[in-house]
Amino acid sequence: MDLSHYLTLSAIIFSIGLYGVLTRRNALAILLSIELMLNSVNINLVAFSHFVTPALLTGQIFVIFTITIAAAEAAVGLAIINSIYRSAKTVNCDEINLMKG
Amino acid sequence: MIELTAQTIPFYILAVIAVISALAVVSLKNLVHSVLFLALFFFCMAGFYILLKAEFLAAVQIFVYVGGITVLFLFLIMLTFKVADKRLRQTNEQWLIAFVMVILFGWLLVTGLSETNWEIAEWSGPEKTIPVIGKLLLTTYIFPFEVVSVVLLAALIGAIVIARK
Amino acid sequence: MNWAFIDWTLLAPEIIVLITALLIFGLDLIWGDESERETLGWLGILGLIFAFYATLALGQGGELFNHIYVVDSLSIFSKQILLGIGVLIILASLDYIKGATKYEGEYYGLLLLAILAMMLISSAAELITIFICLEFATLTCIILSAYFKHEPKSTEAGLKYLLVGLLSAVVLLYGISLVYGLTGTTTLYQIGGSIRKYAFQPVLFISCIFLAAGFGFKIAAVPFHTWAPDTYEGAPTPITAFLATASKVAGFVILLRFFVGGLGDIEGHWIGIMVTLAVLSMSIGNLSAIPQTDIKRMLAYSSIAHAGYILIGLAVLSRESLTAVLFYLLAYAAANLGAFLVIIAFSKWTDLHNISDYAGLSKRSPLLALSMLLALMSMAGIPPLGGFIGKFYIFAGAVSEAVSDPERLWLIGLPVWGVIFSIVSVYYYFGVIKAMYLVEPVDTQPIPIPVPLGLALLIAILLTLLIGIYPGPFLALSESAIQSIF
Repeated sequence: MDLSHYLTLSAIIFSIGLYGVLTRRNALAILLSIELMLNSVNINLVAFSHFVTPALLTGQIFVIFTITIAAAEAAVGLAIINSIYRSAKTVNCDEINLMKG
Repeated sequence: MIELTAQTIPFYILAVIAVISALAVVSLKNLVHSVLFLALFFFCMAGFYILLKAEFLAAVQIFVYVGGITVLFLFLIMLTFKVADKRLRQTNEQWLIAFVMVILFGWLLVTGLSETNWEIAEWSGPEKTIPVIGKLLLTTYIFPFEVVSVVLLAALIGAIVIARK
Repeated sequence: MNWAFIDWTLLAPEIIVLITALLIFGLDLIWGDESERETLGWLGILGLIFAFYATLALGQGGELFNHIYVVDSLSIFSKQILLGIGVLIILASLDYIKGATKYEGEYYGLLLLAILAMMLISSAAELITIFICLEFATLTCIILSAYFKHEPKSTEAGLKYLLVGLLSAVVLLYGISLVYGLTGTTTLYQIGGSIRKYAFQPVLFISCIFLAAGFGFKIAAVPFHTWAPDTYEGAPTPITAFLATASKVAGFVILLRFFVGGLGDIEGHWIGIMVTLAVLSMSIGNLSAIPQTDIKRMLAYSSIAHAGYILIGLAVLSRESLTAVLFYLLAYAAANLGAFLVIIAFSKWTDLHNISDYAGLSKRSPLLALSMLLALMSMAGIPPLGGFIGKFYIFAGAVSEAVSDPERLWLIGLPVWGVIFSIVSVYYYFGVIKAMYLVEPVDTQPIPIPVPLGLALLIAILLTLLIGIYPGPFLALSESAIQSIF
């Protein structure tokens, strides 16, 4: 198994996630798609760590940090979605539109 | 082209499951199903980490993503998703444009990545990664490690302030 | 690593801000009384002033943790601006936030953490640290944008910022991962040293696009600007002011450090991207600002346009033009703060946000109207104010580079484009001035200015005037700051 297989897989999943972000209406579904993209980057990082800098483990450390940040952002994101649902009774992005221009 | 050996078979099996579950996450109408496929996807990621000899990350992946984030998502979907929503359109009008754009984007990305000469090194990693990771986190990467603790504090306080009535 | 050799005094400003923030969170729990909450704001100001004082003692600076964190003249310059902005924003919030939310103490604490995050950004010089600090800043700004959770507009602002912010984080991270994979290292210091030999790898171009997109979101450059108008309009006004100034300063400093400092040897890969972003931001920002009726939204588009002018300096990439970038940031921050402080005073009293509501402001509050006039004139680039000098240096830097190097004669198009759209911008800034001075007020009630806010306004406007009339010392400051990376 070599690096290019992992990179290709990661690029495919990144693209799938991007498709989800562009097409989904529900804010939660967009968050799910972003999680896909984030995980695709993590594969990249671990693969680079394994194939390019095997002795340093830099990529693995990087992934630990990105997972932590992802968890923090998911918590805040879900709090905001909860609060918007309370006021607007919907979490569909194209219906949440008080501002325009 | 595709060689089937003892090492490549697990990769291809995991890759196929991962791509199918990723597609399910972005296309299923019922968001509860989407989240369940996301959990399956996270398990596949853990599998790749094991193939890449990052066992600690595989464990973290399952604890944080499957155990934490997925459950958080499920809770919120149960709270905000109405049963009637299952019949609602879950995608917007631009899906065809987005589809073409994403295919183009992915193709460019894959071409660019495969045209590059990466500086591959022989595998020479430590036998046990956990002690090394622990040591690195508290020496070389102590600064980001400390910053992350403040980030978590900010996220905690912020989430409480916003989510409370 | 030997702990005895770490010079902790280099981190003094950050540590002071962090301790103040933690103190505010702690005291907020202990003090039950509502009236004491304002003290927490003053405590925050005190902490920021102390931290500012500590930056003066940093001297030449140095690096920490093997080039993970660098304290150089650029980061000291940016930290001083950020701390100054922080003081003014808290002064303006003291009255605005009172009674608007139950969680006053947390507001000040989170604001301090946001300032801390941006201070960390301006010193971070390693990919992991850069990513974490950027996300720290984005996260606190998202929370603060959605802070008025009973106002649907504020939560909507938070939601849009959140989704776009997360997407930009992922895109940036993808670019960062490719740079790491290519060079096998994460410190900008080592990347800068070895990047030249990877110049012909196609993936480097891809990663430059990803990185520019990720940072483009942070500085709200077109086409990555879509979040900015909605977030600026919906967020609590002091937070809008904070986003428009502090996060732009931090965003541009990290952009400079990453592209000029780290990827400076392969400038051919990214100058074209910067030119595209600059041209698009100037045109679309200015043209979209014209039809706006909401003043915060108009200023959001105007800030997008300003990002475009600043990007010219980055695209030209000479000592002169990069100095102008920092100078422009300073002048832009002062003028923008002035304008937003007037909006804070006005909207707290009237709860109105439309440009037409500012009719007859010169009769209701001559002081607010005069401050707004000066701030808008500075942003439009009318002499002798700070904004004019900033634009002058940016455009002059581009022209002199184009003239001196025949191969880069095309650069002359950028200042020409900039001048054309600066003239366009006069039109929409003048719309506000016309309403304030030439239209009769509907409501003649005078508008009171709270003392702390008045103080902040005075500082911002005096600074705008001073930068315009006496630019020498500010230019010298910018010049010494840029020397650490170029």
